[in-house]
Amino acid sequence: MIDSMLDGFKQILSKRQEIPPDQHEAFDIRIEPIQRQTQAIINAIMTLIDKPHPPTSPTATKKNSNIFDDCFIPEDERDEYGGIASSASKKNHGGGQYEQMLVEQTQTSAQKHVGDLQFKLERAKEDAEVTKKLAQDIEDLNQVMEDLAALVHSQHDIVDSIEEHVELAAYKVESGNRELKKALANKNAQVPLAAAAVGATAVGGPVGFVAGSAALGIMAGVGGAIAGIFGGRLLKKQAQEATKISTNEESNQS
Amino acid sequence: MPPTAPPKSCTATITRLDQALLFKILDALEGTKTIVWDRFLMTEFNSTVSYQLLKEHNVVSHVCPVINPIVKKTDHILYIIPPYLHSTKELIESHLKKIPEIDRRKHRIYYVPEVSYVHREELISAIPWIDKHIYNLPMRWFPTDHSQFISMNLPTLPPVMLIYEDWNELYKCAKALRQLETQMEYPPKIIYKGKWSTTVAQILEQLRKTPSEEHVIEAPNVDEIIIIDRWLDLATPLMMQQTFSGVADEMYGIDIQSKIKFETENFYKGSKIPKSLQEKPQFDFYLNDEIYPELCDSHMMDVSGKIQYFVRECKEEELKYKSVESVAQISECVNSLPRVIKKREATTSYLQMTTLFMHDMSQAERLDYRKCEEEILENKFEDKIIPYIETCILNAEPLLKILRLISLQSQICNGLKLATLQAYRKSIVQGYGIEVLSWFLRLEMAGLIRCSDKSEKMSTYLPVNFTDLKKRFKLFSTEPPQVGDIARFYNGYVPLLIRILEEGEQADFMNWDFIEPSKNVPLKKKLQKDRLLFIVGGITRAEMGIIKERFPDMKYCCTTATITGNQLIEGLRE
Repeated sequence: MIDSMLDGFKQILSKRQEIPPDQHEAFDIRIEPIQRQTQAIINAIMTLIDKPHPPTSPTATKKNSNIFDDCFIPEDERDEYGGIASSASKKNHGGGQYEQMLVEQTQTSAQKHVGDLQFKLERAKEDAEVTKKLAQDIEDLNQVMEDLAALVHSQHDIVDSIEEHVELAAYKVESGNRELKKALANKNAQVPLAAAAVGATAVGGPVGFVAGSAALGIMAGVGGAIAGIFGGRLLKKQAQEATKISTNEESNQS
Repeated sequence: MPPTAPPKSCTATITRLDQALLFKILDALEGTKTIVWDRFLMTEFNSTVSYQLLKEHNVVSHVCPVINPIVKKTDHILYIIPPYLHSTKELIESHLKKIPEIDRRKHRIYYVPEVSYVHREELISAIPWIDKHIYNLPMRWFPTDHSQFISMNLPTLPPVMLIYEDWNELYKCAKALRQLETQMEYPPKIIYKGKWSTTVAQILEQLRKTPSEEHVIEAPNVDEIIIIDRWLDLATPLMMQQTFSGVADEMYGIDIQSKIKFETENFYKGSKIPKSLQEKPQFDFYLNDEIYPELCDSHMMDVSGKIQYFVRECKEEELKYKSVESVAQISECVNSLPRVIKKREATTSYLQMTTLFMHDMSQAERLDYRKCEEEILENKFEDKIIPYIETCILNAEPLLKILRLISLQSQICNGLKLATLQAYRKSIVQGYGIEVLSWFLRLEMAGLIRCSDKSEKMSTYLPVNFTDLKKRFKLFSTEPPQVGDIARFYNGYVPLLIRILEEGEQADFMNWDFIEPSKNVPLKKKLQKDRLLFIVGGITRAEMGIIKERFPDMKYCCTTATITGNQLIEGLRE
């Protein structure tokens, strides 16, 4: 590709011989930008083909702002058009030497670029070492953070007094008992009502049916409900007594 | 919570001994254990073993006091109780009577330090099967906040000895000393001074002939045991202590676990209360940090200077943290951070504490008390009535401080005039009621309040002639004491007890009574002898500081209790 580009360019230069000498200057002025662009393209192609850029070099990513930067020659070597600042293009406008100079220039810049890349490789190696050290430091820092976390945790004094544990256990037992009592009270609260309902249906219904009178049935029902309430209360009391004894026995059990 | 003691210190040895005794019992029983504690013993044991340590030895549940029910089911139940009749009765009623037939083997009763015939009989008569389940747990010594001192925590010795003349207390002392010397390679020479000490020495001699106590640990040897009576110097504990630990003990009380109880609001007056304490009206401050040993024996006036030094140290350490550059340095800093944080917190707390003490000391009533005390020490009023004391009685101020001043006056002037004593007694009875008369009379019986008239002689303990001894021993320094002078601990007064010990030491205790050990002791020529000091009847924290400073060769310093003047007088109330 480079050869075909150079051949094309040489053909354009050979046309220079064919035009009258007074128009040489105007020809050069027109050709010069083309020449520089061609050189820049050749440089870029050379870089891509001969020394591909290390894909994951930290230096590269650090130094260059984008991945294509390596395709171009360094800024200080560029001329105003972005091509190589060629002394030949400024001084010598001779047609035969021009081609040779161009080839030489291209070769020198390629060598220079190889040197650059070697330097970059060394830098990359150094950077890798630094990165490794950094990773180690991060690990250490992680350890430090863990130590700090443990430190913060240990700020809360471990209760090592027997007394505090005794008090805690006693409190827990007491509150547990309280909860149990509450639960029992709730459970037993419905016993009288249930007993009243049972009493009313069990006594009022049959009595009314036998007597054949609704009034008598209702009265018997009310009487049954009252008896049920009292009976229920008695049952509740008995249940409470029973649970009281059983909890006492449990707590005293050793 | 056990206080941190430097290795090889006296308290470290005793902690080791106590732990060995307790863990031997616990480890002998396989499975989980519940301990039913007597409240006082629980606190006492907590000074040598922590909750975590007990947990490591499979103690999963604690019950306290004895009357509380056992909640958790464990493989063994251990009752740790003192040899008092009420404790035994409580144990029988609350637990032993309810034990079912199949459950008997699990229960064991341990009396600390040992069971007496009376308790064993009481137990067997109520629960016959318990006979084989009664044991002794001979834990007799406990650490104090001073690493050189250990205590029997037996403050009842003076009242029991002086009022009831019960020699059982002295037997306990002799047994305790025997336990200590059994841990050594050979029995030391016993040197003693005083009525009680003579009895202790004689009982100890007898105990040496009987089967010895159990050898549990290897303890450092001593060449001589020096036993001395507290009652040879009664004046010193009645004076206000001036050292940091002394003042703390006098004002707030340092308990057997080496902690002080403070009111949170009072302690953090004018400064922000830490989050953890915001909901607690009171909190315990444990004197087990690295700063306390440096401060405890300092005169109150020197404390702020020492705290300033610690503050400077903390600041320097903080600056060091700011200049760290590498991760390795950060890591090192983080590792040392807990110590630094604790130190900083402790420094802040001590600063707060010092401010609190100084504030309390500068209260008008305390200043008046101090002035009166100084006048008594100067013997300004001799054996006559002191107007300040009279005014205090008229104002119905706390009787304790009045009795302390009267006791101090009667000690300094070698006994009050009969008329003075009667006048004091009359005004106190008129002001505080007839029930306080028994207290006053008990103090007379104990020899704390003395009368120069022979008709009023009630004490069984022969009093010392303080006026003569004051001149002989140069107890009061004429010039203001400098830092490092032992007279500074009591503002220019050197305790009589210290002077007696100094005199004895100068003559290598040759002029004291002694008992040579019956066994052949390997003779070692030493430039300096290692000694064990035992003070029968208690010692103040300021005196502990002086002994530490003045007698560094005392490897063990033992006492029946750490006392203050108030505790001594209060102990004779009932």
